[in-house]
Amino acid sequence: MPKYNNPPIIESVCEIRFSDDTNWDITVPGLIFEDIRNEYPQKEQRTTQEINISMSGIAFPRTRSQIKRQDYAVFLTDDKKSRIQVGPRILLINQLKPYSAWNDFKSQVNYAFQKLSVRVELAGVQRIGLRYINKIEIPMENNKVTLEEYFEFRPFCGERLPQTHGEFIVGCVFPYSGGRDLCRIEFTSAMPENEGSLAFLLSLDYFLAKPRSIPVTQSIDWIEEAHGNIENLFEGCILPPLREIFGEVKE
Amino acid sequence: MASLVSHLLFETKPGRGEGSLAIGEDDQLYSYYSESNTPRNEVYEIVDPKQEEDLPQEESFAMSAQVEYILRYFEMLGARIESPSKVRDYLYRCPGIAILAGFVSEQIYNGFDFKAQLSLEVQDDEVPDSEYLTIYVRVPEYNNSVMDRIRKIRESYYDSLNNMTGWFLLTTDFSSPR
Repeated sequence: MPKYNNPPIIESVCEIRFSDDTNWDITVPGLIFEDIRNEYPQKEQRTTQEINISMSGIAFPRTRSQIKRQDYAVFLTDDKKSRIQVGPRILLINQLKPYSAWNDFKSQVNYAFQKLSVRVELAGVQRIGLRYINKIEIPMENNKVTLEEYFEFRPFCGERLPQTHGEFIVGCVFPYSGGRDLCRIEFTSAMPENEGSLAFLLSLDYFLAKPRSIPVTQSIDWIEEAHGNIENLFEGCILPPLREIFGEVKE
Repeated sequence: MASLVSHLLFETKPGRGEGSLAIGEDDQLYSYYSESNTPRNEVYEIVDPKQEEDLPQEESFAMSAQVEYILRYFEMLGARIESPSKVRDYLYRCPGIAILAGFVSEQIYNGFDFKAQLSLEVQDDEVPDSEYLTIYVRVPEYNNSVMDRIRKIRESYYDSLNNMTGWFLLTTDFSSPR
């Protein structure tokens, strides 16, 4: 796999949701903090409130709405670039830019996972996900960027449509391992940091689609496999001029 | 989801220009060019919708995606962002403020009938950790109701700030939109 001097990764995330039969109580985040406070000395809290509206059925559509509130304890390194978040049966590890190497991030995930395993008997994996957010900034030529020159994954506009467009969002879900895993790719326009450039977000969210389809003990192996598939997908999304922008290391 | 794509495509009208779908002998779903027997090179997997209902569909939470989404939202609203890198850096450190600011900006546009211009700045009082985000509301004409409306919006979010890292102020500098 190519290596880059300026990788576009602005965040890597590993999220593990454990099954409902995992015993959990409100003291768990405090216990974890005691174990990791040397490496993650800062703490915050985060509350999320999600409204999920799902629809199923074509002939007779049914909608189901759920409001879900989650409280997370957030433990941070002093520079706040690395976070471990602990919520009810949820473990979340985030690494913000700069992203050094996969092995470093994997070590962080493994560290957090082992610390939780010591404190909690983890009964099953409901969902596990590895996600990378890439922010790609491309200098404009004649006030535009031609996506075909840089991306293999992009919006397609047929011949009868205008070939110049503005803001966009495209996405696709790819199945892996016989449908056990899915990877959702989303490609959207973003706010650039530099004048004269256009910016894009490329999110690759690889997750276990079938709850409990791997044992807890295989979680770290699953993450390794997920990473390999994400790397291939990422490389499949981009073209050589973009690799040049990222500063591909020629061996 | 493959099944969603399949369902949506099933709803198109074969032979009217959109193309058609058919299940091949191998139980795969093939897509055909409109009014033609030539299959495209696409094969769709049919997923049992009963299975799909149980699939965990939520995304893994990524703070950067949330902050970047809100920044893009401000850009689409035509908000001015003074020192974008400073604002972005602040929102990454205080992501709760980013969500709150997005919520407030929507209220401002509704409360001022979309005539307001927003300007985002990070204020730095030269005391460590004292930075905060300010949204200035600028409108073409100022009267007594402007501050009343700003106060009303402030009341709607003020309590939320208690549990957050960072601080946020909504106000006006009585300037004209730029």
